[in-house]
Amino acid sequence: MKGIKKLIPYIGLALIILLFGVLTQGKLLTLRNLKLVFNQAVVLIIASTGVAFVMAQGSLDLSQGSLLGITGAMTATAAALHPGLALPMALLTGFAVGLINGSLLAFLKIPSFIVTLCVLFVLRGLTVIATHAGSIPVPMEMLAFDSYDIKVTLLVLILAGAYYLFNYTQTGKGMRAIGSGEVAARYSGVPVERLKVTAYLISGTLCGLCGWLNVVRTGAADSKTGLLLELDILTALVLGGMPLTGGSGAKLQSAVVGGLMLALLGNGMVLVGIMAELQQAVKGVIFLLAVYLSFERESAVLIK
Amino acid sequence: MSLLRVQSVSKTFVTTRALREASLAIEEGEIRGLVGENGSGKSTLASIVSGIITPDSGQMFMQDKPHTPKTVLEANNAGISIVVQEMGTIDGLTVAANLFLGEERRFTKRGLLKTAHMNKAAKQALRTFGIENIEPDADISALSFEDRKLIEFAKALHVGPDLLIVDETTTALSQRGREILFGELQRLKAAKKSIIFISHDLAEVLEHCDTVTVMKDGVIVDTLPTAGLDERKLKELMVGRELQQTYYREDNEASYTDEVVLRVRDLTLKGSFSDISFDLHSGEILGIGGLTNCGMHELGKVLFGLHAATSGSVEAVRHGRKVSNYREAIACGLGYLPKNRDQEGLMLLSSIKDNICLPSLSRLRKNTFISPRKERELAERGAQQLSIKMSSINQLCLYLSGGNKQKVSLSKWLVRDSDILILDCPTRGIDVAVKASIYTLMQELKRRGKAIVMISEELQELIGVSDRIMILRRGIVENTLNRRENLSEEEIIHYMI
Ligand SMILES: Nc1ncnc2c1ncn2[C@@H]1O[C@H](COP(=O)(O)OP(=O)(O)OP(=O)(O)O)[C@@H](O)[C@H]1O
Ligand SMILES: [Mg+2]
Repeated sequence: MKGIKKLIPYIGLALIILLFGVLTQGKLLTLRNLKLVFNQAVVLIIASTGVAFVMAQGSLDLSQGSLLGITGAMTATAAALHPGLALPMALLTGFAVGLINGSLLAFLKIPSFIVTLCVLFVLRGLTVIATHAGSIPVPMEMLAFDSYDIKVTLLVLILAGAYYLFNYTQTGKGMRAIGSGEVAARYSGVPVERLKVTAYLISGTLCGLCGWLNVVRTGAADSKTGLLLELDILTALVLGGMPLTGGSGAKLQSAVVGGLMLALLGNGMVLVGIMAELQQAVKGVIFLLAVYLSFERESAVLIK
Repeated sequence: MSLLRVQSVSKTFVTTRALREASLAIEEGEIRGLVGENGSGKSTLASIVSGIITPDSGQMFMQDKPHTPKTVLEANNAGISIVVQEMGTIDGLTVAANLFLGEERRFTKRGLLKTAHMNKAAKQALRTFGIENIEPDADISALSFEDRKLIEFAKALHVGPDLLIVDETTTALSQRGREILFGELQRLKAAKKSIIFISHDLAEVLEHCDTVTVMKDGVIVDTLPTAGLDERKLKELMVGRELQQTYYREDNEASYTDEVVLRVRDLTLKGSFSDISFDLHSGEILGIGGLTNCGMHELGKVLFGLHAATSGSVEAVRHGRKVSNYREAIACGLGYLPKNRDQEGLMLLSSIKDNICLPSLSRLRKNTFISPRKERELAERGAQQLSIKMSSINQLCLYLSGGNKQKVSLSKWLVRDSDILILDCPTRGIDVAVKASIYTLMQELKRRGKAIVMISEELQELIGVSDRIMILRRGIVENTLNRRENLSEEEIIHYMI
């Protein structure tokens, strides 16, 4: 039974491919379409990879949607000065927001859910102001960065680095220990506050990178950029098998499997011609199903 | 007619056969002891009878009526209540809310909970059990481990059970708590109620129980009257072989080197203890005793840097450093075994391996890389050293028996090769055989020049293994006694109260 549970995300992925592969008469799996899926998935997977570190500690990061928006705006503004400033600006913005999130959580002891939700609202407000409720275009030459080679390389490097950090270092193990039992982790010498901040720095910075990727792809920063991304990330991770409580059951693979699932699902529904409104509803139901299947009911009493 | 009959009940967890064809009968007005090694199935049996888990097969009868409880509440209604081995209270609720959990309706009027009404009833309930110092509207997480256990006890009694099960509770209690508990058990017996009493303290079992059932590896070995039984015989039945007689240290003199490893000066934690000074030497076992609220448990946490002291200092002499937080403490070679193992000692939802390795990660790593193979080896070694009963090192700690959890919690500091160990109730819930091996281990550590601070509520244990015993009374060092031949419990108690 335990073994099967671990396989559920992979089975889900296979089912989605099979279902939409058949429904679209193979159109889902054409190279052109797969490239499209990759484009949609890459941001989701990178951002989810960052959030996986946060969720391993049993916390949430709901600020990502607006963070993508504000990094877009900051990046575009910086790029107007000099295109070379765009990427550093994106990373810096993400890093700074991560620092704020992490510090509020770790030192003021405000629950992550509240902190990041508030930051989500604040940043969306700032994004709307920065873009004058419209959009800021970026210099044309930046669009050159929107290449598959760059994206694939980035993705591979990030996943490899994150996998190592998550599974084979004191940092990653400490983060999962916090999710398994914060008090016991502290009593065993885990630097709880420091790691909490670190996790948000990772998730913020990677989201910053996504903000840049997004701008070079669309050529502009928009006030609505990233709307609801945070929920897509959460759904992707849970679909990928990430336990909401974090801890030793947390796996980084969840980000990849879940990200792909969600991207394929979205793409498949478009191909089949399902209305956009209905697509959201389908995602919601699937999210619920994923939580239902993965939730450890026996140990629920231990979750705070 | 027996009150409770259990017939060939079995229970298997994944691969562990925790209970095999267990049968027993409890009579009215009987106090039945239940003993056995760690992991022998005592808690499993108790959980089945009290509706916490359901058996795979077998039957039970309560007053000849079939007894098949699916929840604790159903067992309550059949006249059975239990005080569980681990923490059974819920954080964030008040004492009264914990006490009347599931019974809120009694205090509800037109959909509103009458808190004042409930608090009053709770106060009354507590006072009838001789618990004077706990207020019903206090948040339960602010209470000491012992007080929380007593509240669980009050809650179990409040059900008005015909059969009360007490699972390994006394080791969490001080003398005072034990007196309250045994007083109540006698009262129940006088009222023709029955009790199943699970404990690793065999002397206690022999003193308070009428009969005793011995379990081994999920099987009920025998049931005997306690009259005419001695500890040695009981131990042999439990372990299945003859035990060595040396249980505590054999020497009668304090022996340690001159080298001071931990220097504590004028340590004060407001509201807990004040002006505590002592030197801990290499090769020394320093016992700390006192009533449970004398400040000794808090002292342990301050020594390890978990709480900041109000004033005073703790110095790790070898490192020439003052210890002011837990990270520094660990870096200076300190290790700490907390009393509350489920919350402070273990990550229950992690594997045995992850728990054992956690404090040692900084030693296992090469640059930043931590090799999974080295982790496995370390955990295997730790588990073997304390003979932890498990299916593999990948098993979650949640599914270990109480005593085996304690072993994991201790093991993580042993494999880290800590120089200074602060042990708060180190043998809580551990069976006699392992207890003996832990005492042997402590002496081995002593020989190797390690230093141990042992905070304990067991006077026997304090006398049996310490080089010196520091006795606290209301947060002040009342006296420090050296190890000597005729040191008696009475003498220690004299300074405690
Ligand atoms: N929920 C569970 N899942 C898997 N194994 C379990 C579970 N509960 C208990 N076990 C296993 O069943 C066996 C018996 O456990 P039990 O808790 O009954 O022992 P015990 O006699 O109470 O021991 P102790 O004296 O240490 O409290 C142990 O090997 C334990 O690891
Ligand atoms: Mg037990």
